[in-house]
Amino acid sequence: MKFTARIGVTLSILLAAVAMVGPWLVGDPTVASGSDFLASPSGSHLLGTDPFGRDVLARTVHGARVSLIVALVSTVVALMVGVALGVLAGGHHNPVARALSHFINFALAVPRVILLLVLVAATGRLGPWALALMLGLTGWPTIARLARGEALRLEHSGFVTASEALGASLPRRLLREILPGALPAGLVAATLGIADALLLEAGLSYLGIGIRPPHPSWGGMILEAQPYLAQAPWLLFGPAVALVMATVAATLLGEALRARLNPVQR
Amino acid sequence: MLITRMRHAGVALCLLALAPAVLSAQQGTLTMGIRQDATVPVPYVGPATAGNALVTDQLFLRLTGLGTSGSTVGDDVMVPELARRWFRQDSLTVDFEIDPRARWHDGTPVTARDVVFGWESLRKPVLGVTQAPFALIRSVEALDQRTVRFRFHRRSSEQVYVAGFLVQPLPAHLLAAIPADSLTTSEYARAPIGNGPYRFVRREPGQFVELRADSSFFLGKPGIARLIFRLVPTSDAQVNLILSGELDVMTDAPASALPQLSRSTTHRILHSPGSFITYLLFNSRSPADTGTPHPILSDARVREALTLALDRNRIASTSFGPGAETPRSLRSQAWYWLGGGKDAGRADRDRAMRLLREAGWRDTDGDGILDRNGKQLALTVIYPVQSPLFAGIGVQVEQMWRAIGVAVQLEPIDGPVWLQQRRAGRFDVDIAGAEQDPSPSSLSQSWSCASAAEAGSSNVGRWCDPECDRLRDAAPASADPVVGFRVALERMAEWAPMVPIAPTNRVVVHRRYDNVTVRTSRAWTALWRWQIRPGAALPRDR
Amino acid sequence: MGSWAVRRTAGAVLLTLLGSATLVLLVQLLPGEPLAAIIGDRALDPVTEAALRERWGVGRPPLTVLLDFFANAVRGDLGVSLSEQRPVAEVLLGRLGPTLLLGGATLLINFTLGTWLGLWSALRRDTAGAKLLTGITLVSYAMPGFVIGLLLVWLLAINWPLFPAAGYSDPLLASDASAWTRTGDVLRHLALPLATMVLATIAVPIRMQRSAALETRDATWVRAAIARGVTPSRVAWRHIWRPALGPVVTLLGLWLPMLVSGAIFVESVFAWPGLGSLIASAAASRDIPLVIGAGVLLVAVVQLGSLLADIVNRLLDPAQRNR
Repeated sequence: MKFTARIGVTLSILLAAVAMVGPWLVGDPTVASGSDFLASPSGSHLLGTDPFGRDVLARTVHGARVSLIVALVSTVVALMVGVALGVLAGGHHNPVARALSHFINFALAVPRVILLLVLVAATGRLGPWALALMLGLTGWPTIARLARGEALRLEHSGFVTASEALGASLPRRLLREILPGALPAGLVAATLGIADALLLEAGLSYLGIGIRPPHPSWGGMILEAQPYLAQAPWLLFGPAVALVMATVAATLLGEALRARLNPVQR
Repeated sequence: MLITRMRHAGVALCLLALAPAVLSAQQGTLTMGIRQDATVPVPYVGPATAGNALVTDQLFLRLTGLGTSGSTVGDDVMVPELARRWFRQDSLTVDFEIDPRARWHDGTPVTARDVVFGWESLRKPVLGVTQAPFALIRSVEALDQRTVRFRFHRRSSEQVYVAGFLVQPLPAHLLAAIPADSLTTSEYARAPIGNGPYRFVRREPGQFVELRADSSFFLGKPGIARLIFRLVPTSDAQVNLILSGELDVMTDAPASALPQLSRSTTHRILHSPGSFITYLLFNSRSPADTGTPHPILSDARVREALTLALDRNRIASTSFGPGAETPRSLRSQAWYWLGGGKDAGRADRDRAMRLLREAGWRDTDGDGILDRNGKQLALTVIYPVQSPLFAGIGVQVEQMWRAIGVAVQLEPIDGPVWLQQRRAGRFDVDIAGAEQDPSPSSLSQSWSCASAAEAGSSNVGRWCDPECDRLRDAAPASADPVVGFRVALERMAEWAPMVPIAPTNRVVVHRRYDNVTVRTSRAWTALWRWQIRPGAALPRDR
Repeated sequence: MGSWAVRRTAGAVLLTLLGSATLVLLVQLLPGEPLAAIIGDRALDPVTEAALRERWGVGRPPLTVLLDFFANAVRGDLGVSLSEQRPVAEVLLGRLGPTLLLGGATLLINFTLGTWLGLWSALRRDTAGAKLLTGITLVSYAMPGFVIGLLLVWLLAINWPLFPAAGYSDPLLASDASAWTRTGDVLRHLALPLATMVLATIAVPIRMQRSAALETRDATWVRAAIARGVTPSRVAWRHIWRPALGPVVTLLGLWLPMLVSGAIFVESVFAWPGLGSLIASAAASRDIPLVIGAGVLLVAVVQLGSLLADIVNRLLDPAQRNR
């Protein structure tokens, strides 16, 4: 395996381990520890404490679980729905495909943030799984459009036309040639989408439909760190580094996957 | 040809020599950050946001202003502004004499008719002005060009305050022809003509408002020629602008920026008593059914225990920084003219837990949460999600109440939904804040039995204590109103329907300004007296 | 090509209308005090409240609002903003300039510098430079926009006062200052927000372009062209770059709305008067006419973007051009 792919896999495994096992190893992320308020990193608090006395390391680790679930689930949902619909819509001269195309364009026409606001406001408080589903169900149109574009391109390309000439049926064409061709572009978009989802979660916390306090999430922690950036930069350290690690892991993993799926290109 | 050129050169040289003298007569700029756009800086017509009020106060005067103490009680505590003098005719009538020098910025004198017009305008429902503070006034009439007669419904030592401070004149000659519901969108609203120390120059929507000093202002020439109110919606951006030297004044600097700001060599920090108060409101009724008392919070022992469990000093200093205080009653720092005690603010967990035990709450199942008759001591705390300040308070409250065995569910709610939910009474504890009016009589809007009975009123906790109402209503007409109000407030504190914290107003000011005063209520009405220290002027002050 | 373009444009217009209608109806579903923008939490007596609702047209049935909206929109009247007390169209127009400036400049840099860097890192795949570029852009993409912004402000506006810390223009500029001075002033204010937006987003076109270029580079027809003797640079343009632009162009077409709503945090750090922060604050204060107006604008912009992307794609791809 290539070096970068190895890094991607290692990081992903590390993050998954932290998310699953970590919370038992660190302290309580919501309790004020004695009298250490806004304390800089030290022996007892490896990443310092926040203005309310909570241990930053503990919060980062607990936040890993929630932030990763939301980011992963929403991306997977968006990817599955988006690629499926996009590839189907790229099939040519088919009334179903045309209708799907219009539907994708229509879905793209509605601004995502406002849709999210209404959906969540109308349904009330959401847990991480429901929030992830909601994010995924509003994020698929972008991926669908991309996948449709790729499917159209592939559809007119040499080997698909050849396969059509050989008598392959539409579903077979879609599955064997177009889907694998469209998938890489979708995957790259999806891996970048994980970072997007994480950052979107931060924005949603700002609008009131993110993870409820006092349970920590990386997005929420970054937002809370903003006013204290000058006097307590360590507040940003934990969640920011974690966020970067998660994005890097997702991207490298995505690249490794794409290399696997496309044997022509190393 | 050459002679003409030389003459031109000579004139130019002379002008150049004179130039500094000409410029310094109209010198000085002050750039201040506001957090909400001053969309319509006209009294009663524009929105009641802090940013709008700030600019309005530079453009429009009142008949009388508040004195340095901020007291609203008594005929002589108010300070002349548009009104030069006032005379009490009897216990229900006061006449105000308008200063003959007072003029609107278009040159027309301010007349009694303008006061009457202002009064008639604020009564129009379509302008959305809260009517309760004006309930004292029976009628306003113009006796002649410069004398206005106010008649009141009952005796009160706040008559001069209500008439002179709350009723602002509007230019009848410019506005009488405009229907009330078009006032907010009228041409006048976009370029108001006022009577104050500054004139309106221009507004760049979404960016800034520019005002220029009226050098013929009858109370004195303003010290600074140009005022710019820059719209900078977040305090973090304002702090950055202060540090980069692009902003001269910032109001309400957050505690988190204190370390950076105190190190500044160009700006200094002032603390002025704020008129804002934050509090935790306990609901007296059940959220499920506002007809029945609250199952947990209607017990005064529980409320006292919850208050004692909080380290109020810590909350005050973490969320508001140094200078914030913990009064015993719902008294912002602007109301300190009332006197009254401060709370020690320390937590007393032992006593809190003892009180809860007395009230019947024990941890029978060992889960760390107190319970009684099978029901847990669980409370939902709501607050508007757009406020990081309230979020921070919520986090600390949750931590401290959990320590004595109370299960807290924090529920940040989208602002407009929070407004609806609290009005409907669907909460256990509400984190709220309020800008207090100069007069304690305003408490009747949200803390009286009458408002408790009204559906959808701002007395969202439905608190009702007839004795407190009686004390507060009697205070203005009593022999010593200050003591009367103080007693009423202390009576309110005994119910413990809330846990108040009174923050200070942290103002950051550029060091080149002299004669800097920030008032307690209507903080910026003394801005026109500020000056730039000679020799300290910056290039942008020309 | 011509008839396709006409049909596609008609489709875009229809979708704009449908999207707007959906938006108008959806926004009415938002719970919360409809007069929040005007009265906040002040106590009002029933008479005053009723008069205010009447005056601002609050509480009418959704379909009435929808029909009224379209009837008025045709005449250019998008209603009056509750929080600004000005016509919505005016408010939007005022914010459009700064938004287009920041968004347009970001797009321009991403599309030119970004695709060039993507291509470069694909062709020079194994050099340390390309790897470093990938690493740096990945990290800058993963950091929230406002962190990058705050770092830039601290470094280049406070520590070394090279650029303004916030705002769109200097309010102290004399109103008779020349157009030259004014433009220079706006550009100085644009520098840091633009740098932040670019740093936060340039990873996307770089990666997309790189991935597409890597794929086509090893494709059979490229190898065939090289074997035929076509010069390397011609290969790069004709056979790698042009086809690889496809997904990038599509993505950029989709990006127009993102540059508005995604710029919310950058606009907040720099107090940049754009549409993103306007929508956020309008939604938070339930300024329904403004939310609808801005939302409809966004819908129209999305359709325009995807229309343009489709047209460019068709022009670029010889296979599709003649259908």
